[in-house]
Amino acid sequence: MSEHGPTSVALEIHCRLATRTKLFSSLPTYAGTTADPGDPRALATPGTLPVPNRRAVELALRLALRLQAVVAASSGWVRRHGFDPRAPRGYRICQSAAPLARGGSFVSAGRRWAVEVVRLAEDLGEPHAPHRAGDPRVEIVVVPIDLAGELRASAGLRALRSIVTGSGVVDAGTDAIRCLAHVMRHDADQRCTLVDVDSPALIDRAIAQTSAWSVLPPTLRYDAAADRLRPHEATHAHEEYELPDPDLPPLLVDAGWLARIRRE
Amino acid sequence: MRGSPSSERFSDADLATLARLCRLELSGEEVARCQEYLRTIVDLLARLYEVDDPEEAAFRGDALGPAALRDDVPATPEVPMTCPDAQMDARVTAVSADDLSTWTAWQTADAVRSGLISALEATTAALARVAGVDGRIHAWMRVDERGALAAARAVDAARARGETPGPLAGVPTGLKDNFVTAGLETTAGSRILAGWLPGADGHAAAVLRASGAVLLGKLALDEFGMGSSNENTPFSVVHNPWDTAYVPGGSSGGSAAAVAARTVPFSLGSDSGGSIRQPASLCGIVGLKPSYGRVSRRGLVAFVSSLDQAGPLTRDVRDAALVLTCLAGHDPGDVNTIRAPVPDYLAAAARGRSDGLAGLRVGVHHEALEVPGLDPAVRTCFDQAIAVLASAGAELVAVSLPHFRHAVPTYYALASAQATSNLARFTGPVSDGSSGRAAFLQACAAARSRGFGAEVRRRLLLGVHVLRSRPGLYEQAGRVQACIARDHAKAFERCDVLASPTTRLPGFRLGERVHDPVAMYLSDMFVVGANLAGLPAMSLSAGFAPALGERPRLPVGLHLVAPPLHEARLLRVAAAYEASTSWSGVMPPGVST
Repeated sequence: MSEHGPTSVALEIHCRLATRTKLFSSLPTYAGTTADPGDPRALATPGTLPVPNRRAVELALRLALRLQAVVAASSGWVRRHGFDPRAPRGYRICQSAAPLARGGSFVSAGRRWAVEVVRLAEDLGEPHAPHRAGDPRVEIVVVPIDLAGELRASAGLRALRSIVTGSGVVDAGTDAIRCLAHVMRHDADQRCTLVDVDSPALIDRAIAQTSAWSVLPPTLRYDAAADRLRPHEATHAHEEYELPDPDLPPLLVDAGWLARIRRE
Repeated sequence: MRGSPSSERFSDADLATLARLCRLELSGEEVARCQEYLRTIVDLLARLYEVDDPEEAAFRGDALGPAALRDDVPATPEVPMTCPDAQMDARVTAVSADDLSTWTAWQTADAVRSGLISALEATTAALARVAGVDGRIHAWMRVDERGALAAARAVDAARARGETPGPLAGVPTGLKDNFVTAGLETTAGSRILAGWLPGADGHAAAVLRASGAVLLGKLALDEFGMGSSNENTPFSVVHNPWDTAYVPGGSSGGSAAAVAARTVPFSLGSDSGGSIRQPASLCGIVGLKPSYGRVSRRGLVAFVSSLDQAGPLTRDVRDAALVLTCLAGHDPGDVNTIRAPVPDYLAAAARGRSDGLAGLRVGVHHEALEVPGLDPAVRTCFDQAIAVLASAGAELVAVSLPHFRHAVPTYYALASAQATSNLARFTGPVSDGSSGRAAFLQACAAARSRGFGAEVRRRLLLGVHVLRSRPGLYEQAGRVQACIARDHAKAFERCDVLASPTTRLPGFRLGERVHDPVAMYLSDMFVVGANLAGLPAMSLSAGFAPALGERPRLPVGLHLVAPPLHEARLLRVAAAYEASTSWSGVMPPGVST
């Protein structure tokens, strides 16, 4: 490993949930319909208010239970503003401050991988699929692993993907599960988020390539076809701000609801 | 921050950063004006740091359990809400067609229901009245004559078929232009929304139509509700019917002026920081802001989501009760609406009229009476008003709201931040983002700078400052808000309703305060507390400040506040007051025909 080698990495996976409608609107999801998916700009029609999708919450809870995470009795919603032109309202609603669940774990490569949080968020949409904006997704953040040992990100990603797919909560699209890798260099206190590292076969190569940067940019995109990391015009973290969503009360999950989900 | 002698300075670079974050382009001249504005308002917001009470910001209302969530079923057509059938407790017996404009909503609906007049007659008379007087007032941004006549004919046809007419059958009305109306342009008073024809009615328009009301058109407001004078508008400025050189108040100034000018018996406004009650006071009518969550915000263009409430502006208390009966209730489309039964507001008002106020304690908010610059004529009207309440049987007690002086800064911290967030969606015509990030941002900034007026641009800058440049300020404002709510809860241990004047002055001239936005903000100091604490509140006509020097005779308002969801109590007290006074019958001189 070179002197700029990554010392640890945290996986974050985003799974698009198999619902027919968006997280906060009864507009059809991109995957939920074969007909014309709703124009997500309708999410931003003045006077429109968000109403959470029960099915999306229940699928996320199912996954949280599968990971043995501790479901919060009360979780909350935040409006995150960035300058991504794709967000129809100028912000997207997520659970960054008070997530749906914390903790939990899964086993891979003979080791228990600890889960940090499980939370709901709106999909941002992508340039090739802008209609996905507002589709529900669950985000799982894994506690960082030390790369000095024998563990590799690929093992964790492979196991997580199989848990998520096996729990039947994601839609059937080929890119329903996306992965980010938060690469850290502890000595220099540098961190960088790699995006598009969706493939367990390639993620370790992408992480290793960060050694080529003496100073890590905040975000790099992995171009799998060229097997190269490229500078990424990402959400500019320094341009973001957030506030608790005043349209949405806290989400309460009681034991009875969880028990019903467990039984399903 | 406490006692800090030096004001925070805003450099050109600071302004450039704030402008970039809220996607605005500012001219050099505007940068200078905004620097001065931000310095002044941020000094005011610094008061929030004086409060070191550990009160935690608490969420009001019902949390989201599984029952409040939406089924995963793709979009279905909006089902118009139905409205409870209001009970009529007396009958109109004699009418002459030429005084229709003096009729209340209740009288009009009763006459339509009994066949004394048709909805078409009521509507035609109201349209004629608008044509006759609104040229002097400019309350109406848009009159939909064809739509109104068609709606009136539909009410008459339904009645002819033997269907039960709604509680507002044939009553002409207007909505503040931040209420979304199907097929009727909705601008929220902003150029950025000019030309928008919504596809569906919001909650308020739907329930009013379902109740038989006839929507004549849309009423003027300060842009997105940001203002206290109706002068923050790219469209016509509204004139006060009591003296057309004076402001009607804001932001629901068009709604207040339209009712005061007798063009319609009632209108709807929205109130985030006094925007129903302050113009009601300045126009000498009744304005009711319900408890937060009592009325759905679905289809109300969002300004301060945690404070916005829709409510009626009327000429008498019974009409306020009648309209609130139609509006109130849980709406699954607004998860902040409260699942509480809707009491019989008309009965509460009737009880106040007939039974007086024996056993009721009225808390006189003494900090409000000690505010420097409280107009002596306002004080006199207020003293007379509470004497009327006492003679109706109420006991007067002095109560204190210790965080009163923090209400305006708390409001501006929360309001500017949420407005910045709510208005981020307006990106101009290039909103699909297909043009690439840099080009998009540039086009967006150009469109927003053209589309938003100066006050909106100022508030966007302030909002980004609160959210980004001052970490913790928004949360601190939430904590002070909780202190203000607790002050009210404690006050209600000693009294049943709180009373104060609605405004410090009876009114001000058009143009008098446009160059001093922060002085304008302070004109709402008596009314913002009820928004911050989520409480129902009302302004009633409490007589007149007599002409004095250059100032004409102007109406003065009595402000009443009740505990959460106690609208019925508020209406009872207001009806008792009204029964002992005769202010609601006085016609403004500016619109006598």
